[in-house]
Amino acid sequence: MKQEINVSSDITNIKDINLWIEKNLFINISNKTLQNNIRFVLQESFVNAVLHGNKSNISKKVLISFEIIENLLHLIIKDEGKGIKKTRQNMNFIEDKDILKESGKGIVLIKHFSNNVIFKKNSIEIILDLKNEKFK
Amino acid sequence: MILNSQVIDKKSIISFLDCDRIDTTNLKLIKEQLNPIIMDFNNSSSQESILDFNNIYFIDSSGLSLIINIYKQVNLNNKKLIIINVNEMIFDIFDVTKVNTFIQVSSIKKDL
Repeated sequence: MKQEINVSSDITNIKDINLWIEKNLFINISNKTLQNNIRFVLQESFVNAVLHGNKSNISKKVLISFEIIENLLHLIIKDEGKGIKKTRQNMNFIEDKDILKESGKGIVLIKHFSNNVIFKKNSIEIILDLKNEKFK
Repeated sequence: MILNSQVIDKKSIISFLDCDRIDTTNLKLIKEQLNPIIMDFNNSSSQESILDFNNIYFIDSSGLSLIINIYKQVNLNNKKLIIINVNEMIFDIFDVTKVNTFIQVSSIKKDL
């Protein structure tokens, strides 16, 4: 069953989002590494949505949803922005010339901690294999 | 204070107290406390600054940016930044982003 939460573009909402994911998803996931990976990609994507998508405009919303289909977690983070630039979408690793840059590493890390990432107009869908987790 | 700083054998050792993450939620506070410590270190005769991640279990890309920024400040003064007691996930993040190519990162538990 699909579950969702709609929050304003305020970074401090990450605490409520973490509580929501713990209550609704982590009760069914025992693997702590998997939990941490989900927490990481969710937080990175939410911060991107607030800062870059909604430009920290508190009246704009971020919609987060998840659904489990055939043991794959589909996590979707949707903002009201214009979407992530193609050049950033295509980043798969950090080039040597960029290692000292203080930004632009989030997408690479999201891809690293997930199995697949699909970029849509103003949303990002992150897919994680839940492997041997059994769901109620 | 969420940071503790002490000098042992001419090494500046910075540890995190009551703080288990370096991310967007607490970045401003950590910056406010860490920047003066790094400035003092750069003006001292100490050559190595050690960040003890023993209590840190989570870092995001904004926390990573802070670490890179601290490295730049230290490197500008020809000094060394070392990070110790890093957990598996943070070690992985440092590896993927190649931070461990310019900062010495240790995952082995070390008592200071």
